[in-house]
Amino acid sequence: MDRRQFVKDVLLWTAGVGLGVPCWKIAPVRAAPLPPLLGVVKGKDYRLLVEKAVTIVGGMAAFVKTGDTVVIKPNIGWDRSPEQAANTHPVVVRALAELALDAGAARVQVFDHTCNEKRRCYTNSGIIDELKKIGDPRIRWEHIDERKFVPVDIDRGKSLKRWEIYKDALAADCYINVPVAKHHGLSRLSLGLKNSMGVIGGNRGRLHHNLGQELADLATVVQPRLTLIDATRILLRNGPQGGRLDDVQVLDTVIASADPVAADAYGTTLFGMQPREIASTVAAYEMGLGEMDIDRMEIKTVQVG
Amino acid sequence: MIDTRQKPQDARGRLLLLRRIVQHVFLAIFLVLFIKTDYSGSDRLDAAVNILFRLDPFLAAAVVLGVKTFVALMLPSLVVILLTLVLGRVFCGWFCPMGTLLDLSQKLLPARDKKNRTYFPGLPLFLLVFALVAATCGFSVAGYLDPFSILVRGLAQALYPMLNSVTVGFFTFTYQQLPDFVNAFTEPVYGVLQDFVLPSGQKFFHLASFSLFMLLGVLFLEAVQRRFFCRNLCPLGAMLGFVGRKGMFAGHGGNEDCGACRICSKNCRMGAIDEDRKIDMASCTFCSECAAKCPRQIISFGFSLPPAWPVFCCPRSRGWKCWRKIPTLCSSDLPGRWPKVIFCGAVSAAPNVSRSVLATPCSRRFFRRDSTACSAQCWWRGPATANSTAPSAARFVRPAPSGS
Repeated sequence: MDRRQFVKDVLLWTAGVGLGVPCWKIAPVRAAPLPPLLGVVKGKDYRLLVEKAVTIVGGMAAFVKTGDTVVIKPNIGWDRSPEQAANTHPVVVRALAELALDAGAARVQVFDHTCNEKRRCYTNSGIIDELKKIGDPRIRWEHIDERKFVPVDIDRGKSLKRWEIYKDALAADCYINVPVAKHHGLSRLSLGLKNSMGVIGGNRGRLHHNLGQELADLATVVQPRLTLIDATRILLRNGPQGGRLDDVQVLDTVIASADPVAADAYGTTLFGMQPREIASTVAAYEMGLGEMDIDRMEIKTVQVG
Repeated sequence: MIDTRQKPQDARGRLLLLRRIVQHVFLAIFLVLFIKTDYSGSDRLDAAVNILFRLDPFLAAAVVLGVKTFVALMLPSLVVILLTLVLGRVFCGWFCPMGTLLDLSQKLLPARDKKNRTYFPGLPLFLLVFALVAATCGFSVAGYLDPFSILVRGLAQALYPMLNSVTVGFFTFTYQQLPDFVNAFTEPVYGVLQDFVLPSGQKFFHLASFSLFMLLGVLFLEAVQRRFFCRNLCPLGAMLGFVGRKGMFAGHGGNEDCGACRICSKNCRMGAIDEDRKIDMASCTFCSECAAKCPRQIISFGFSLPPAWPVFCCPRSRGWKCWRKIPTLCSSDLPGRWPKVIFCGAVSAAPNVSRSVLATPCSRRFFRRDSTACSAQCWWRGPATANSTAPSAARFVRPAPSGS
C-alpha cells in the first residue's frame, strides 16, 4: 500500500473526516504563489560559485540583516576528507560564512551533530581550518553541546510528533542549510532535508524507520531561510559515508534556493533521478513545504570562470 | 650571631618534606598523563600514561616471559631496576602514584592496626612468582595484580567516566534550571573543565564496576593497615624489594640503647623495622619517617658497599666483629688493634689482593700506620691465609661513632 492509496482508504473509511487534518489546509497556500527561484552555478572557483548563486536568489542581504545571529549548517558528519565528498566542501562553507559576515551578521555559528568522532570530523573535513583562515571572532564553530537539545512539539508532524532539536538552530535569526549532495543507503540521496538531521538529538537512528515522512515533519520546524546544495563533487555510491574516490564525481556546481524542497528536487536530477523518487521530497511537497516539480521552478543556470 | 648550622632534626624534616613534594609532583604528572592519554582529536599522542607501564619491571618480566620475545618497549623498566639497586625501594615510597594515593587515603581512612605487623609478608613474593610462572605458561594474571594496572583501569573505566557524568549532570542542571547570572559564573568553569579535565564524551565500560571494586578495595584496605597493598600483595614491590635488599643503600636502625622506645617501628608504614630495630631493605621504601621521628636521631640512611666489596673486621676474643665501613680503631675487647680487611666475594685471585687493598684510599691510611695490621686477609671460599682465622660468626653492624 503506498501513501496515496492509504490516504484514499482513510478518506473512504472515515467518510472524509480525515480532511480536517491541518496540513491539508496549508498545502495550497504555500504551493500556489510564485514559482521558486533557483540559482544553479557551475565553475571551478567554488568561492565565486557560492557568491553568484546567493546573488541570483536575492543576495545575502535578503536573508541576513545587520545584527542577526546566523547558523550555517554544513554536513560535517563524517571523518572524511573534502575530496571524498561525504562532507560539505570547506571553501563553500567559508564563502557562505564570509557572505553572512559581510551582510552584517553579529555572529555566525557553524556546527553539526556528527556521526563519527566529533573532533576527527571537524578537523578532517577541512572546514575548521578553512574557517580559521577568516580570522573573525564573530565566527563560532563549536561541537554539539548535549545540554542545548530542547524537546520540540512538531504540531504539523504526521509521523514525528516531538523530538529534541538543537536550541541554537531554532533560535537563529537566519538558518542556512549547506548540505553536500550525495548518495545515501537508506534515503537514496542525502540533500537538504536529510542534512537537518544534524541539528537533532536523541536516538536519531529511530527516524530511519519512516525516514521520508519524518524528514518532512522535521522540516516543518527546522526551516532554513536559504538552502545551498554543495554539488561541487557528489558521492554517487556507498553513501552517506563514502570513502572511495571512485565513487566521487566532480560537478563543480552549487544550487541555491530559499525553497528547501525545490533545492532538493533539483539536486536529485544531478544523480540522473527524478524528484519523486526521493521520499522526503515527496512528503515535504505534499505537506506544502515547497515545490518539487522542476517545470514549475524558475531556474537560472550560470557558468562562471 | 646567627647559627647557620643545620640541626639534624631540620635536615630530616626537610627530607620528609622533600619526599612528600616528590610524591605529589609525580602523582600530578601521572594524572596529567592519564588525562592526556584520552583521545584528543589527533592521531598522535605526545605523552601517554603507558610510560608508567613501561617503567614497571614486573610487567616487563611478565610480558617478556609471556611472549618469549625481547620487548624493547619495556626497556625503561631497567631504569627502575637500576634505581632500586642504588637506592632500594625508593620508587615505592617516592614515585609510585598508587603508593601516594594510599598515603593520601590514610588521612580519610586511618589504619586500625596499631601493632604494625605485616599480615602476609611472604604473599607478595608468592604472587610475583605465581604471576611470572603463569605468564610463562601463557596465563596472564599480571594485569590483575600490578598496581598500575589496577590504578589505571579503575580510573579509566570507572572513576573518570563517573567524574564526567557527575560534572556534566551538575552543569546541565545549572545551565537548564538556574538563571543567567549563575550561568555567567558556572559556564566558564565548565568550559575550563571540558578543555583540561573532562573526557571528550561519556563512555561506558562493561568492566567498570569490577575495576572500581578492585581499586576501591586496594584503597579501603588502608583502613586495616598502612600500605596494606604494598606490604601484603604488591608483586612489583616484592620484585623491587628482592632487588633492593642486595643494593648499596641501607638504613641503620636503632640499637640496644634505645630502651623501650618503638617509635620507629610503630611509624613504619611498611613494617620494615623489626624487634631489634633493624631496617629490612626488602621492605623499606625510604619514606624516612623513622629517621625524622627518632628521638635520639640515631636512625640514618646511607650507602654501604655492596657485598663484593671489602669488609673490615676486628678480632675479638670470641670471633670477629665486622663492618662494611672502616672503623677507626678496634676499640673492642682487644683494644689497639687495627681492623683487618676481609674480602667477601668478588676478588678471585689471592696475589692481586694486596694491591687492591692498597689502591683503596682508606686502606692506604692503615697501611701507612701499620703495615702488618693491614695485611689482607683473603677469603674466597677457601682456606685462610696465615695468622688469621675465618670470621665465622661475622656480624655486620653499624660502626661505632668515630673517635670512640
